[in-house]
Amino acid sequence: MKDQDDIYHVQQILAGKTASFAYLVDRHKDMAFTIALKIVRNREDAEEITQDSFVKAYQSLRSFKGESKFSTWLYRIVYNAAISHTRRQKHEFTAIDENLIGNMTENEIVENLDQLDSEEQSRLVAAAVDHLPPDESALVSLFYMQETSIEDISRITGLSVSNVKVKLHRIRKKLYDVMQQKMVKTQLV
Amino acid sequence: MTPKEIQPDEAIKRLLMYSKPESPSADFTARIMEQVLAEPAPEKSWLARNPWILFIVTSAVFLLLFYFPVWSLFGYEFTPGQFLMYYAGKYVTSAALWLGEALSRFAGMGKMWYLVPVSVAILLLAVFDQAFSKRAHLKTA
Repeated sequence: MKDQDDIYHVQQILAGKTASFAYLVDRHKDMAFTIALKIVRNREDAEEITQDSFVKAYQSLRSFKGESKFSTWLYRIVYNAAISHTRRQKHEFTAIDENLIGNMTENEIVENLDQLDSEEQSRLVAAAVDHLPPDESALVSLFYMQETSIEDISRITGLSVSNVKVKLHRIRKKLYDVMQQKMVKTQLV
Repeated sequence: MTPKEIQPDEAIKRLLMYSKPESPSADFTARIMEQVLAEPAPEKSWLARNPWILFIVTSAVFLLLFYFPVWSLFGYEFTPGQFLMYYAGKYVTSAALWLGEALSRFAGMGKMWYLVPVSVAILLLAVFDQAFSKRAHLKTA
C-alpha cells in the first residue's frame, strides 16, 4: 500500500505537482540517511550525500519506470553516492583481533547476550555493526533493520543475489565474532 | 528457548530491533524542497505523455503507403494493396541471395567451416546458462 502511495506521488510530481516530493522525502529520509551514515560514518557528510541524492532522484524522476519500488531506486542512488564518497576518503577500519575471539558458538553468544540488559545489548550490537566495513554495515541496516528483500538489496548494491547471500552470511559471522571479542574485552562473559 | 532453537539471523534481527534508523536534522525536508523548487519540474517527455500520437502517425503513414503508393518513393506501378506483396517478395529474394552468398563463403573455409556452428553453439549455451542461473537464483532467494 505504501509502495502504491510512492507511485501515486511520483505521478503527481511528473504531472507538475512538485510539492508531492516532500511526502517522498519525509517517508524515506531516515532510511536513506541511515544507509549513508553507515557507509560514510560522519553525520555532516551523510546528510549532504542524502540531500544530494534526493535532489538527483528528483531530477531523474522521469527515468524511474516503476520496475522496482521507489525506495529501492532511491536507496541505490544513496548507496552509490556514499560508496563513491568513501572511495575518495579512504577510510581505515580496525581489523578483528583474532586472539580475542573465543571459541563460543553463535548460540552461546546469543545466550550470553540475553543475560545483558537491553541497553547493553544495543550498545554491543551497534559497536559490532560499526566495526564492519562501510558496504557491509549498510547491508546490515537494509537486511536486518529495514527488512529489505535480498532481491531489492541486490538491486540497490548492484551485487548479484548469490553474492548478497554470501555477504550476509559472512557479515553475520563477523558480527558474532566482534560481539564475542567485545564481551571478552569487557569481561561480560 | 534451548540453544538448538536459536536462529542466528533471528537473534541478530532481535538485537538490532532496538537500534532505530537515524534521522537527519529537523529542517532536512525543507532544505531539499527549497532546492527542488528552484529546479525545473521533471515532466515526462512530450511523446511519453502522448503515446497515441505515435500510433496515429504510424497508422497514417502505413495507410498512405498502402493506398497511395504513387505518393511515396515506392514507385508508380502498383495498384492499391499490392505493394506489400511486392516488397515482401523483393526482400525475401534479396535475403535469400545474401544468405546463399554467405554460405558459399563458409564453403570456402574448407575443413574449418565446423568452427561456425561450434561457436554459435557455445554462444547459445552461455546465453542459456546465464538465463537459467538467474532464474534459479531468483527462485531460491
